[in-house]
Amino acid sequence: MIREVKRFPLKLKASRLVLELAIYLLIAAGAILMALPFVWTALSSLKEPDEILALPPTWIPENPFYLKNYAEVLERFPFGRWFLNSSIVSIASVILSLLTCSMAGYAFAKFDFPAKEITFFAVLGILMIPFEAIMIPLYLLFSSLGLGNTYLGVLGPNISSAFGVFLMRQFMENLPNEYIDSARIDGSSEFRIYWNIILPNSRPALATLAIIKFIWCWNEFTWPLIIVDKPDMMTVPLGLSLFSGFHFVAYHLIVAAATLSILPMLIVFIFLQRYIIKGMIMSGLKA
Amino acid sequence: MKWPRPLKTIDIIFGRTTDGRKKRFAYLMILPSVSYFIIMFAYPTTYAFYLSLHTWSLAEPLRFVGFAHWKSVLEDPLFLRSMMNTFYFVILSVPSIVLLSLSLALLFNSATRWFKAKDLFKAIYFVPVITSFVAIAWIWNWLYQPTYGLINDVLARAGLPPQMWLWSATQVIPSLAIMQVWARVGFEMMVFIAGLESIPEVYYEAAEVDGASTWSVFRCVTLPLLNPQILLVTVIELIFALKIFELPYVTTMGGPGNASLTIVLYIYRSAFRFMRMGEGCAMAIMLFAIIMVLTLLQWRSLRRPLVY
Repeated sequence: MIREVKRFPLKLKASRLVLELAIYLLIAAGAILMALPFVWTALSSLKEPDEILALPPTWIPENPFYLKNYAEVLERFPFGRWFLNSSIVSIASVILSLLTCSMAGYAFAKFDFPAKEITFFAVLGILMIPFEAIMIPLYLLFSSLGLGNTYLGVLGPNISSAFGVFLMRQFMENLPNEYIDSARIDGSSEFRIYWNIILPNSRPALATLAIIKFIWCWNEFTWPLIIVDKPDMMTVPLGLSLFSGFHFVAYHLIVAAATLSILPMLIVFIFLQRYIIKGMIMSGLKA
Repeated sequence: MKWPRPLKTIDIIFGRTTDGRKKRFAYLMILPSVSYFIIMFAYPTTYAFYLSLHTWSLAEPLRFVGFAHWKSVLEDPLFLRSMMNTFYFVILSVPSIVLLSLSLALLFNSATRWFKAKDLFKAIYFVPVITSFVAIAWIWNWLYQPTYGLINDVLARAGLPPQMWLWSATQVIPSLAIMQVWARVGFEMMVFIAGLESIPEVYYEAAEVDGASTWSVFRCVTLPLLNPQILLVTVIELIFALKIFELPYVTTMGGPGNASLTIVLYIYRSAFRFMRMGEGCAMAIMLFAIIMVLTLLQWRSLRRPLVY
């Protein structure tokens, strides 16, 4: 359909114009439906507790600069600490994954060694294991090592990833061998070839992996839920889930906390939209 | 420097001295990941099976019970209930996601004049994908709220009776499915858009020469060429939906009654609330088996060569 217009722009008739207009309207209506829950939540977070429970609901807050809900959330819950924890765990996971996955990916892409094929196949096999299948033994393992309520404990399952190794290998296989060979002839050590030649040339793949890993860790819920129970060691999603502990659900706090939790990722997304969408599609949301 | 000087270039050309060193280097490079995978995946997988054959308790060592846990799990009406709930959720959400995201992708692909708004629209559809499921759960919990929520307000304005949504035993799974569709449709839409963009132009040109109608172009060109993506999206969403946990955990905790108890929620509850690790592992392995079959299917779909 699109091609037709591209190649014969003069064919753009009235009927075509109406069709296009209908398409835009549909897309825009869908976009409004997609954005509405966010907008409604953000608007609600600016309402006074009484106004939130007003009937019928108001759309625009009476006082759009009412920020006391946020103040109350920050006062009653260690939200800052949760942000810090999430950042520490996500950034550590990104750095460690980039390192371990690129190392293994390089070896699988450019070296020959006995049992290479079978090892790589085994790594791919790991992709099939859903986290839910191993969370119980992992919990027993981690708690027997005393890693409950520690950063290392939360970080645990996100230090390397089979998907990352796969991604790195696919990318590095296409790097020209001449780079490596000429560096060898110049007398570079193997590690320096990896560090100074392979890594800088793999930037696109590294960026993709970093984005996927960061978003994954930032939003991860199940594992932190199992391994952490001290409020001070919680990540943002885990802390956010605490709000269900109330007898009466305090909606004025929840909407503020939910908005707060979304904001950082949203800001990152606005700046890196293209890379994030591309990276996440590559991963199939499996990190 | 010692004499004779090592002739590095020649050594490399004949692969004499460097070969062993290169192998050793490669092993060192895969060592961190591979040993990590063994500790974090291979060992827990086997241990999960081992645990499912034992009774675990804090006080005493493991007690071997054979397949007793498997038997009790398969006879457990709550586990069957959680399976039924999960499958119901899957049947409601997965086809809707596939159909909706495909339709959206087609709409995006057939509009031509964007006035630079295309990226903005794509971004709006994609935002839920980068939002944590916990935040999504709270947002919708608030929207669904029977008295103060937006959705019932809209219904009231349209003259329709208010619904109980997450607080109703019959509506809770459909309500969760709506949340899942909202959360996932942007992602799969982008997968389809990427698929549509990769279809070679020549097919459309040929169809045009033959004077094919828009519908037959879609049915005979676009749809068959999009087959791999359709299968891929279906399988990804099946796996995703089968593992649903955060949404009911935050919003309903499996309630009302056990109407939204899902498989993973029940595994979590058995293992970490009631400390029944053996039963939990037996259920987890059953879930693993289902997902493994689906993943293998997904790989086949990715590797299948396109023959049309």
